[in-house]
Amino acid sequence: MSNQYLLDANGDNTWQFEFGSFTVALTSSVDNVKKWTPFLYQQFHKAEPRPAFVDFRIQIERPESLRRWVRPQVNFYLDGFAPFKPLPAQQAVPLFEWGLNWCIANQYHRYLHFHAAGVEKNGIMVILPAPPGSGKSTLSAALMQHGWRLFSDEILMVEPTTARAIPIGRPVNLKNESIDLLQKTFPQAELTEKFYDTAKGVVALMKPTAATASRVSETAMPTHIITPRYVPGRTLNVRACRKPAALMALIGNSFNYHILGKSGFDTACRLVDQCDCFTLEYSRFEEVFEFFDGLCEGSQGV
Amino acid sequence: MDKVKWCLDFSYAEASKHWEDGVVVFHPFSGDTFELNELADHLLCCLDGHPPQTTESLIGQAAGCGVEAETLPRIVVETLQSLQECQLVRAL
Repeated sequence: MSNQYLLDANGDNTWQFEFGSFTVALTSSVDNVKKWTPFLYQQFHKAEPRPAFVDFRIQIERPESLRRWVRPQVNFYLDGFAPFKPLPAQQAVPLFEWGLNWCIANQYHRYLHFHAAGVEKNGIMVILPAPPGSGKSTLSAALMQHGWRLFSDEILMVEPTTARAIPIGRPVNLKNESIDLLQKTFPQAELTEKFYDTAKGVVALMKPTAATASRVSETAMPTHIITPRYVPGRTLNVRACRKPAALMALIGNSFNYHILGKSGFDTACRLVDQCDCFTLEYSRFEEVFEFFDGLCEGSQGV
Repeated sequence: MDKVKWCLDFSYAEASKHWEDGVVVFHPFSGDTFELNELADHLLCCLDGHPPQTTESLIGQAAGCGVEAETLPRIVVETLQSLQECQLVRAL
């Protein structure tokens, strides 16, 4: 399947995306969304017909109240239902990304989901499971700019029958200090403006690279499970991880393991079986790049 | 040692995964997954019907039953390995 970006023929501000295996229709008349959605998703454009079925119909719109005009807010609607409290209108773009994460994690159980990033290069596919604040979005964004293909920075999906990872290649959600750090380290990176005072602090979205966008329909067999942790000032520290511990960590970072039941257990076991498992502490991208590039050359660097 | 007996209930269809460095067990009804040593701790919690406690207190409980702490994981390992796929549900 392919990704696509379409502006509705009727001009009703609807964009339709196909993310590998599911489809999204986003409708919004909010200026910020109209400005940044083409920027973030334009490179997925393909002149193909609309998908026959839409998994998630999402609207980002201002409420029909005074807050439409006074200190304006926006609501996230899924099939007309608003599952969240409204946010300031300036946060409309990150609201769409967070809301779509919620849709996938809560309603799309065809695949086993992990709270993990995923990157691939030359057939080496690395799962990076970690809780919030571990630096996985920053690390995966850096690796993407370094030439690795991004599967996801937040939700990694694995197909239970094949244990292959499914890419979705959406924008990377960067927070606080990592925004300026990545912009400075990778001047070629394309980011949105900063969105201030969100629940996660300052947020900006990084556009997927062309390599990520052009191969978004290609699945990959995971080869490594690496649990990252950013530790300021720490030189790279990579340690092999016991298989049972790796499995428990993987399960602990799953959104829907409890829903898939034994299928989820079997899939997670298969992943751990077929992958080399490590923990990784880092503070400098250069050291991480050397280690990851070493994986591609058949040397794990430990 | 005679005071400790691991009871096995096959009515609970159950899965386990064995690696060289350990065992993980899955309970499909509850959805719980245990690494072996955690399973041993969990089972010891069932010993006197008390809710989960600290590892130290569990070792104390085990000692009260005449089981040395270092033998506990081995007991469970041997039981699981001999039966491959089973559900340990209670320790009496």
